[in-house]
Amino acid sequence: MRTFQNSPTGASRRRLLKLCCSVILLVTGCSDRQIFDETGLVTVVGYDLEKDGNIRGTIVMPSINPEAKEKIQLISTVGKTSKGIRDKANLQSDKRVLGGQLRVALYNEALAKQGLGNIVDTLYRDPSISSRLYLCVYEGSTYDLLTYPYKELGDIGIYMYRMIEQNVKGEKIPSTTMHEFFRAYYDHGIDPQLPYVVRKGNEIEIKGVALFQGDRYVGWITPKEAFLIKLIHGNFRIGSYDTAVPAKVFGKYTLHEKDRKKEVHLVFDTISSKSTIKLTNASPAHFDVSIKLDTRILELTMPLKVDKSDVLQIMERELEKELEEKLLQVVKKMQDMNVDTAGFGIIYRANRRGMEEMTVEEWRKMIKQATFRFQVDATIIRNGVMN
Amino acid sequence: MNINETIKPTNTISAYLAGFLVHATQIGVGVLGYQRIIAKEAGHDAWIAVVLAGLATHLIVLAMTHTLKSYPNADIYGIQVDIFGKWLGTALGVMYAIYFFLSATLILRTYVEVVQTWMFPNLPTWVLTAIILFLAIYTIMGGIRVVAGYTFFSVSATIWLVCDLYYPLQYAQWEYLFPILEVNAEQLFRGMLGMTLSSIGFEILYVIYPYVQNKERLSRSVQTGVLVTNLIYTFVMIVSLVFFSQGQLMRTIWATLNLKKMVYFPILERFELIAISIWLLVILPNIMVYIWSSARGFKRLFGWSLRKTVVMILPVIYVICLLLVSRNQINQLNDLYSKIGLYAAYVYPLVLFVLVKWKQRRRRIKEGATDANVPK
Repeated sequence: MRTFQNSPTGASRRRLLKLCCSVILLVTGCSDRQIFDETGLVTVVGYDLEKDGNIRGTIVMPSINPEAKEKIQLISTVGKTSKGIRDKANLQSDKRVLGGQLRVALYNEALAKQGLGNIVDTLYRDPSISSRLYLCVYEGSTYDLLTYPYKELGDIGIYMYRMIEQNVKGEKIPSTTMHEFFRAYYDHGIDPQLPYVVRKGNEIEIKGVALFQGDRYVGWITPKEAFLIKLIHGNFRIGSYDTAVPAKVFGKYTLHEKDRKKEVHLVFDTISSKSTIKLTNASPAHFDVSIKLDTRILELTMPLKVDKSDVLQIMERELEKELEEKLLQVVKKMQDMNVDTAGFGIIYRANRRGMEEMTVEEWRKMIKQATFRFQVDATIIRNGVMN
Repeated sequence: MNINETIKPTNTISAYLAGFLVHATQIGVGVLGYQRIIAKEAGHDAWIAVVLAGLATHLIVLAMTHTLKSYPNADIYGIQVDIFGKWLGTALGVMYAIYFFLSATLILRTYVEVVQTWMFPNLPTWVLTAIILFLAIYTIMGGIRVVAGYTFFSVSATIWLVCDLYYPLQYAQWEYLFPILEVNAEQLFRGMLGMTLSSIGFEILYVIYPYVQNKERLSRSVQTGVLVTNLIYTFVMIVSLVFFSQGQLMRTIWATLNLKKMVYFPILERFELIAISIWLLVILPNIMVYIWSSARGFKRLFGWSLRKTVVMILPVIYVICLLLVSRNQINQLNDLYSKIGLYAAYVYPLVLFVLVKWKQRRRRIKEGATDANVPK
């Protein structure tokens, strides 16, 4: 009724509302625009330590200029901070350099040895950079890696991203996103690990896994050893493992008599595993690790009578024996390097009260003195489509 | 001033909408980054503090509904005048109204701060603040029914955001939760205090009560609303604790947004940007309900009309928002607000409950235990 009485003001009010709405709709377009053609989306960045202590940053952006021959655009500058490097990179680019699509960050070995904490921190602080960014350690100079004229790899940034992602998803190497690096770095109970990448001529290869003590790189291990570390503290769904056993353990089940002196290579895949770690003694720490794994035998280099369940059992026992032995070796190696990549510190803290404030020194000392026992329970649940 | 009120039936809302209003006002900007504040005190047992704080909220809400039930149709402004007399009651009423108004301001400014930090670093504060306030004023002018209707829409349009926690859960490290209950009672209590900022909002029940139609259902509906809030807080807290290591969580200001950073779809790489934009839907009911409650206070206390009061309040909110520039200022004011909220929403309702019950009893004794005149 009131609106009826005041219909002139009602109409003007409605007009005002329309005006306000249209202004709001129009003004929203005026905020910070990022037009695709005018932005350079960095896909990979490499950091090298220069001799004078500065950091050289090399960035790769896909080139969307149809007239350009090269598919990528490379910029390399020297600076003290990573954001300073980005600012300087802008001076060399016709497009605004943005990090929103950054997929891989590479650090050279020398820089990693000095410690990555600060330089990764700037990436983590920047909200425009994804937490799912993969970090990597490269053996030599990342400038050489990124500027090398690869023929088959296309956009090197996307290539490296796909390479790491594919291997992480296939559980060939542990997942090493920036989030996981930081989680481990800020936790006094586990050390970070990153893929260790090398270049052999035309090809880029993940050679192994780089181990860190805090944020400092100390050494690398093979993917097989990395597999074992993940086996200790983590779950597999589609892992794979290969091993060799002397043929004589199969005794009468070998098809040919003459084979018995050779070695049989066995390849297991679709390994799904579950580990339980028990702290059975507090000081010195003793960890009792029992691992249950199901797997499939994929390849054997010698004809065996796999239809006999005894053969599979022998294989299971051999696999268990081998894994237990290798696990002890890899743990010893970690102890020698003074790192705790498997995260025994977390287990220790979770099983003891009053350890929340465990210092780094206490943790390192605990790991140094710790003893381990491994018990693997392997089951071969399938043997392919052939007997 | 009448202690009780008669509301036109066309202006009332049903009880279940009151539950929605309470739930929506509780969930605001607090949920974006409460994990760090609580984990700072309670460590990896922070989720226990969240659960306990949730139980405390249930109790307080119970006390509030009982306080309100002692009157036929009164709100906090009326009750205070009844209990404390005209002068003190009005003064307390003004304080409560200012508290509501401060809540709206801080929520608005914190949200704008999030947008500036995460999405548009060079977006001027005045633009976004003006747009949001305009939306708020437009809805408030429609009255509580429109606000309640919008709240219902906002909750049902955003509740699915909880599901995206599936992605960070893939990175869960469950050992981080153990050993359970390692902290002592004092740390746990301090953790609970840290929850204040995120769980306040239920005190608007004091203002919307006269508008609720079927009051016998109110208690159940509001308790359900609070329960949903608590479940969300507990769940998000547990996910944060297993997703971040403690040292990392201490350095993460907006942990919930960092959780959302792990979400990705083939066509959408950066989900957190969508989440922040959608969050506008979540904080709009907060701002609306608080401004409405504040304006309603002035109307009740001084008889000013709702429209005029809103028009008066808004410029003040706007100016305060513009004056808050740095993250530090916002943080300090948020800390202060959290302390005020603790007294306004947790301690005071209990006091009021006791006083109301005491007064009623005295009245009953005075009138010779004949229940006839006791307001029921």
